[in-house]
Amino acid sequence: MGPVRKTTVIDFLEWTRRHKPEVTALCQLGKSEFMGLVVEYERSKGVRTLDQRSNLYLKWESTQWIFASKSNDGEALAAIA
Amino acid sequence: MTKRPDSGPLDARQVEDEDLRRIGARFAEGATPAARGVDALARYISVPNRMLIFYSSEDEAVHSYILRHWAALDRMSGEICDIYPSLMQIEGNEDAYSTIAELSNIPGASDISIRELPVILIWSDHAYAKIPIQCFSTDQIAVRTLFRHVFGALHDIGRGIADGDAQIITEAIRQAQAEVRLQDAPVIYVDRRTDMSTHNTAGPGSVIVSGGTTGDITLRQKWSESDVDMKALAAEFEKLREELRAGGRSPDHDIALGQVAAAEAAAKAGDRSGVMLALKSSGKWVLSTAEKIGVGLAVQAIKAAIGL
Repeated sequence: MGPVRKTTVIDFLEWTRRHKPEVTALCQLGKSEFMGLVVEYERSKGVRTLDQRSNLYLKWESTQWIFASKSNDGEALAAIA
Repeated sequence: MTKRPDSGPLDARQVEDEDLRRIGARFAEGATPAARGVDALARYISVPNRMLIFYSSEDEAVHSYILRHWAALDRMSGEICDIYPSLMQIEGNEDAYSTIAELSNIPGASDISIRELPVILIWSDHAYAKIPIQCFSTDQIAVRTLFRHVFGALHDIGRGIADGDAQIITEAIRQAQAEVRLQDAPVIYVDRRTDMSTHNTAGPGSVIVSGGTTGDITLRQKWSESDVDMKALAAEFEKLREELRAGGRSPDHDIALGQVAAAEAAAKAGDRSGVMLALKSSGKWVLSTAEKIGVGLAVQAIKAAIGL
């Protein structure tokens, strides 16, 4: 499963900046912390439950994998189309 | 997009370079986002302005300019504004139509109508500016001139844009317009951003800047503040919906029906901004049908929503 769109990540960054000022780097987050943020973010957009088998969840997992595997978020963002 | 192997990540720079080269983009050493080598969120927070360029694959001049001159765009924007391109968008696998719907946290994004494309959206922590650039998308020189003046204005402002910067941005657009001898002036919206918990809504005090004249309140704002009988409006939307239902069964018709139904529900709830949001993408068919059957309140609301 590919990652979410880059524009969605930008939207997520804007949401994180506004609602989670304590988070300053996504690659510093563990997977569970990242996905916890994602669940909150998607809930704010009207997704009531994010099923772990859903395509959306898997896309975000893939996105997290990219952020976790790059040395910084800039590289991670660049790797997402 | 380069396919990722199952075992371990590709180097991001390699992915970026390969993708850009494959689609024919030209860029200078160190100009790709990956080469900045900084934390994306820290960068996002520290750069005072951010820009998204909404366009469809039909906007060839904009499309070509981004492909060929990404490095120049990146240099022009410098440390005052970050541009976020989407490679899938550039490749044509994704277009602005589907992208816009997902951006509920980007101020001004939900206010963009597909009919306005291409559109530049610039936002800071305090305000956003929406600049439809249709009249500049005739050729790449016009597009380049526009970007040069827009980024020049942002450098002149020297911080995140505020709603009081409408005049500077307008002047920049006017200069670009004069330089490439364009007749049509874009209508620019500069609005202070509202803190949206879930969905973005147009905040109070929207300023419309048209042809260099600042200070006019938008039609939408005027309508929202006007003394409209919402009960009568809801009844007119119901009448309009019935008329539209008889007019066709294509997907476009169904979309229009849905928009009018949503406007009707908002009117029944007394939600003026909801009426505007529901109607903002309604087309000429809806307007002409409303005019034909003589539902005056609905006509005024549709005109205000689509900016006529």
